[in-house]
Amino acid sequence: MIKIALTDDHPLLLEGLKNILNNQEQLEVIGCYSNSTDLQNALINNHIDILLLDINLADYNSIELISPLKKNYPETKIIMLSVHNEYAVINSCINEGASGYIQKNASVDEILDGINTVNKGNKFLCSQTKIVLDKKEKDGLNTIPKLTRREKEVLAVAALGLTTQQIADKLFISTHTVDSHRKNLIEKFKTVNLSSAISLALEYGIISKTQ
Amino acid sequence: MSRQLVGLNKFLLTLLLLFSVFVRGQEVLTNYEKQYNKTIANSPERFEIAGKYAQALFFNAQQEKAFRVLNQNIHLAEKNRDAKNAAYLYAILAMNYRLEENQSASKFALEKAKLYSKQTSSNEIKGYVKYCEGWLNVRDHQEAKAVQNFLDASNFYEKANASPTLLARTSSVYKELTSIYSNWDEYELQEKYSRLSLEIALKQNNPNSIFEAYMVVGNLYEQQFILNQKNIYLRDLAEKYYTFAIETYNKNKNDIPFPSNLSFVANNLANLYLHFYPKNYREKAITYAELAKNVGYETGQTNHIASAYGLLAEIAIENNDTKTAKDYLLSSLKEVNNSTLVDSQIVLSIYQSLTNIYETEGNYKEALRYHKMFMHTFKSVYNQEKLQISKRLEAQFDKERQQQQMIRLELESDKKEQQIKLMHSLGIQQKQDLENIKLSEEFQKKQLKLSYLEADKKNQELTISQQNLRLSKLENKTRKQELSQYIQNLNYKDKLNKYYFASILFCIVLLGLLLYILTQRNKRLKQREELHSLELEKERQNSKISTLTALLEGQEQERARLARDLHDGLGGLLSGTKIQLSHLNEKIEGETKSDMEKSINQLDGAVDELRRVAHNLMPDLLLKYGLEEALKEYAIRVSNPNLEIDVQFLSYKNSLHQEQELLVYRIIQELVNNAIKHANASQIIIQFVEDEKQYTVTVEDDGKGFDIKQLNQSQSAGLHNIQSRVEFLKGQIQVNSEINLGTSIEFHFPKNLS
Repeated sequence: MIKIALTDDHPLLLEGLKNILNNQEQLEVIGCYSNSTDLQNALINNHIDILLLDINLADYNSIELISPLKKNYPETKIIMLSVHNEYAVINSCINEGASGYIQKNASVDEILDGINTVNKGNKFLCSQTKIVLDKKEKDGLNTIPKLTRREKEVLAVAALGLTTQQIADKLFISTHTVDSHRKNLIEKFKTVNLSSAISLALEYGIISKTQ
Repeated sequence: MSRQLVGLNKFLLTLLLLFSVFVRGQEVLTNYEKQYNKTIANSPERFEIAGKYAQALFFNAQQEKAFRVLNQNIHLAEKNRDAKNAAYLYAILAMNYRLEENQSASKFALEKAKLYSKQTSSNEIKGYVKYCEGWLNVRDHQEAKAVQNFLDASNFYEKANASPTLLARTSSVYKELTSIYSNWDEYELQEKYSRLSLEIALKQNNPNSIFEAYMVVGNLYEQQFILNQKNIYLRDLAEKYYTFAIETYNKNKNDIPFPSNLSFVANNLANLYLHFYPKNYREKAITYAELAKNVGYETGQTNHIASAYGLLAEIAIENNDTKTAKDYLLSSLKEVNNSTLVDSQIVLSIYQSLTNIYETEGNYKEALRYHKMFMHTFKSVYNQEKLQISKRLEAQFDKERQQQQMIRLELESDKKEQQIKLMHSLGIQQKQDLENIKLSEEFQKKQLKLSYLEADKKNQELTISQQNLRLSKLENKTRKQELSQYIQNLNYKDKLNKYYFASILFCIVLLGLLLYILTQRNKRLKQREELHSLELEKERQNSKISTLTALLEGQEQERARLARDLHDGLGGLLSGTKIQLSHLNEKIEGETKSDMEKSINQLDGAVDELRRVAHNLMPDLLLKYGLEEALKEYAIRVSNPNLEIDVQFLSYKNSLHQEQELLVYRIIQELVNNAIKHANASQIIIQFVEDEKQYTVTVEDDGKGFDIKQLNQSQSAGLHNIQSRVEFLKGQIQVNSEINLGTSIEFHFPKNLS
């Protein structure tokens, strides 16, 4: 039997979820809690294998609960059950130590799958959460930096070998602005100097040599 | 009687043209040349000396160089700010041209001189130009005009400041006036100006000038004496001044380099002794005539030589020494024929004397020849003199002359016939001839008298006008007297009024002071009031801002509450419902199951919609994860396959206040919304850069772009909304948009916002 605790500030959801889970043979819902105080008390008295944790509790932001719970009850595995589908939220939950992340509009099968997977000691993410993370990962891999038009102009003129003052004169901007662009470009291309940034830009075809 | 008069005056010289003779002599020229070269070009000294130098050159037969010097300096002087040099040089140029007989050039130069003299304040130069004009008038036989100009010149000179050249110039004017008045026989005026000249000459202490002045005065008395021969006193005065002149010369021989006028004085003195003094003065007459002859030869003045010979001849005739007389006359004639500049009066006298001598000798052929020459010269002189005065008479005279010539021709042919036929009757014929000629001569003399009379009339007219002038001067005087009386009255009244005036002035000053104090006080009060109202206004604005801030904050708080309620409350409820339903659905079989499935999916849609609305109301992430995460999330949520949104945070240290974050988020949200709604963009870049001093946010799209000047109302309203938010951050916004290239909006705001 897998002992499960549910936390959510919505009685309707608690009730529905409890019914679904109790219908499963190997699952046993020990208790439903709508605030962190009740949850803490229950944990002291009971052994719980899986904790289905909603982010928005009535009295607490439960992301901040993850770390202390993991520390005090290392045996208890936490699956986040939330309406949130933002990468930042998901990411911080996982970083805090949650074993799974399931969005509330996931199907019942997915929830059960998640509980089983986590109980075996694995991590679980529901399909929609996976999509969010995958997309983020893809964006992170996109190494070609996006430049504004002004930055492209500065880069193109700098590629001709002009000095800061000459660039400023040519584009009718202050030398201070040119310096600022230079700094930004180096950061965007993740290089140490502008000439490396220029050669990368030429390589990516952001600027052309003939310009 | 008339013949005797002619005889008495025959070798008397007139002073008419004497003053046109400028200083001559090589020494003077070299002296001027040295001075000229010493001065610096374009300096006042150079211009001054240039005039004298040019004159010296001119009279040393270097006319070309003279004109060159003048034109060079005129060219420089015209550029000079003070017009006096240009006026002076043009005046000299005018005189030189006149001497060259180039009348049009002379007139042009004079006009220039007058033009420049108007521009200068130097009275001396104004006077000099007037003098020059008068000088030219004299040579154009417009003596009345000349007098006017000379008087003007003299007036200017009187007003002029003292200068080394002033006396000499004044003296020149007086000499010219003396000369003209002597022509007009205006004895009084002539005397006045010659006396003035003498005064100036003595003042100058210039021997040459003193000599000339004595000469002029002597000449004046001589002329007066000739008109009034009973007045021995005049004769003695003339003798006295002529003697003074010669004495002056003898004392200062070295300082008078070129004694051109000495022979003139000697001649006239000799003439005086010969004709008007008793016989025992003959010796003196001969001495002075000899002196005149010698000096004449020395200075090359034909007239003077001729005149001296004439006088010597007369003395010889008196002594019945016709041979010597003839010799003298012939040498005189020889001199005359060698020169072009000859006093025709002298030539006439020579011819007449020769005729007389031959007549007395009985050599009628020679007598007739010389008489003919006399007549010829007489006529040419007569023509010259008459041309200006009696044009009216000319035609008539011509007729007469023709008739006379006809008669003479007839007579001559008669005479020739008679000569062939009757040699013995030659004498009688000749006599008849002579009588005829004498008659015509008398007739011509009458004509001459008539013209003299006319000239007299003109002189009288002039005198009348001068009298008028005097009258007007008198009138002026009385007016001045009246004026001075009036001024005295005024002064008296002024004194009376002074006390009242002073007290009134004091009162006015007091009143003014009071008024000033009052206005100052009022002003200060008004300023204080203004300051107060300004402060009030500031206070009002501050309260307005705080109200606005409160309003915005309240709005945001309300939105946050609403969002949380929606998201967590309604979201949770919907999620619960979905789970419940899907649980139930497992138990259902048949058609209803698929319908149920549809409803459950619709619930999913409802949750998505709810999330979107909640996010728009309040980005929950912003509070928990900060601007960067919130914006990235926002970008993910808004982007789709056709729209890529890139969020870049550079050098960002997460140091913004929450209110700032919210404002920035809202601004960016609005900008991105605009780009999607209006620009149809496919790529949007959101860039947030942190500097040491400020934050810079750029939102750039690749959409349609727009003309900033032609924003429609809703667009500009949206932009205004954004702008006011940026201002709330104490920042500035910059909008760059190009049609078909896209829009780039950049705003920056300072960091250390309390």
